[in-house]
Amino acid sequence: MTQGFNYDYLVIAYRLSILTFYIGVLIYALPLPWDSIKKWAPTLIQDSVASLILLLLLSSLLELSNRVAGLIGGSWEYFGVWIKSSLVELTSLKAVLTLIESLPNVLGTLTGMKTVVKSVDRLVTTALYFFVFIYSLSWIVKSLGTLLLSIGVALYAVPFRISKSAGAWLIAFILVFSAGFQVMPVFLHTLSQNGLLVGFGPIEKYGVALANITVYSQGGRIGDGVLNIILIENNKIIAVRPVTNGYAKGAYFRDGVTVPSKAPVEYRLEYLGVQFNLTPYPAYPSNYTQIGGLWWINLSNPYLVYSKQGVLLYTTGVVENISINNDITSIIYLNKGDYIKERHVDSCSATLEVSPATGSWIQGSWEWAGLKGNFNGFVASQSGYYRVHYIYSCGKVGFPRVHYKAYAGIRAILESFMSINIIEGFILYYFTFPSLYLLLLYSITFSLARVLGGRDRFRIRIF
Amino acid sequence: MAVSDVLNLIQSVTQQITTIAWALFLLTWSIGWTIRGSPIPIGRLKRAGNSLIEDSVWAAFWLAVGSTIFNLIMYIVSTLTH
Repeated sequence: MTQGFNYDYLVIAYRLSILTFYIGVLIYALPLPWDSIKKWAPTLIQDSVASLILLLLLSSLLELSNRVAGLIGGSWEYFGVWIKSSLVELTSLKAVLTLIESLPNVLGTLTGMKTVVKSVDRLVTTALYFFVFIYSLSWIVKSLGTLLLSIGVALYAVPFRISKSAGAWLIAFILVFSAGFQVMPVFLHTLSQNGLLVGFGPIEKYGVALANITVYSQGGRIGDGVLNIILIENNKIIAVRPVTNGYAKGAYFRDGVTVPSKAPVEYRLEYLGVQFNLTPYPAYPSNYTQIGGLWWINLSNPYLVYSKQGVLLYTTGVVENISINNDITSIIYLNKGDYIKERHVDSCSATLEVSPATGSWIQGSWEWAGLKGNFNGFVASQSGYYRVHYIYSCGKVGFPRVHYKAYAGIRAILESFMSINIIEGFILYYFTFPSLYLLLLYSITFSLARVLGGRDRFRIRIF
Repeated sequence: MAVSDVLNLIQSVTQQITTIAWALFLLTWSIGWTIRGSPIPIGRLKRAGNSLIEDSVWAAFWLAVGSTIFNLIMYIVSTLTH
């Protein structure tokens, strides 16, 4: 308990019990021979002795209750840690659900999921209120416990049993619930286990937004590709999305890719075995344009000259201009040692012409993500402007076979959360067992109050 | 302060009751013997007188025991706090 006993009330209780004693004696001394009055005399004397004993034993009883709780393995620290972590869990779950609810309803893809989220949200809110109630009650018992005990024993000592049951109940309440709260986490942990909320961590920490991502080369939107999304904070690849016709495809949402909304990321494009860091680099939440609930962003790389399904043209020089008809013509400034390279898949044929041809050529083959093909490259031997002409034609081109994953597979997480076992476990752990336990404590309180000398109903007795 | 007022009130009431109890004890005891010794032949009256005597003696007993014990407690508390 955080405070010592309130001596004012204890002294009141002491004086009241003495008063009760002398009133009892007085009734004995009254010259009225009627039993209905005289029976109060021994009653009052017994009451005064009982309340004196209770007064003297009060601190020992409290110590006993704390000792019992300690024997079972509970303590106020343990309870404090448990209730705070439960509240934090529930609050962060609620935060995640609010985030999901705030995602835009893009072309109706989210309606079904939002209904589910709303029901789960209601459940979580109720659990949150319940646990706040438990926390407040435990605060009352812990901080005001000794004060309430002192008041209880003062009520107990009032003559003629006016408030004896009220005092007995109050004392029983504090004694039982102070041990009860300390033991509560032990009780709950032996009945069930935690771990219901895996998978929500990153969403809560970094936020989630729906992004419409378009990838450009110097010659317009690219064709196919694989987009890696890397979290700058820990350099981890948090998503791998396919790109078709320059647009990144979402896993569960037709028009949007889930990306973090509160942390910067790095976008990296990979196609035909070549990787490009895409600007803006890094991509902060402020780099996106928010229209209609979606976050729009255009990504590009200055060295990526041109890319469509099956072909890739890139350089280490500076692209001055580029024009596209059926084939690609571009003026590129190359320093000595810079190169222009192209890659194409087997089902494509491509020709790369560079003028002036002051440099060396390299060729070879490559294999990547289930695709294979050949590459040609021109390495400049002197600095200057080079005119590049690239002609290609393709047959059927396959799509890169890579393990794709989404940052926030929200529907997948929600679906696993909505499985019967997890919902059952949630309701059991956050509602059923705590309620049962509190009811148990409540009934023990009544029994102890009856033992101490009250009845199980509050009744004011006058003569 | 309200608490000390209440305490003083209770203490004064207790003292008054003690005084009244001592006085009443004597009174009841006398009345009891008077009724018991009176030449009225009604049995119930005699039994009433008997009970009055008995109760008054109990009253005196508890008065004495009570004051002794409470004064003892006060004495112990005062020596402990010094």
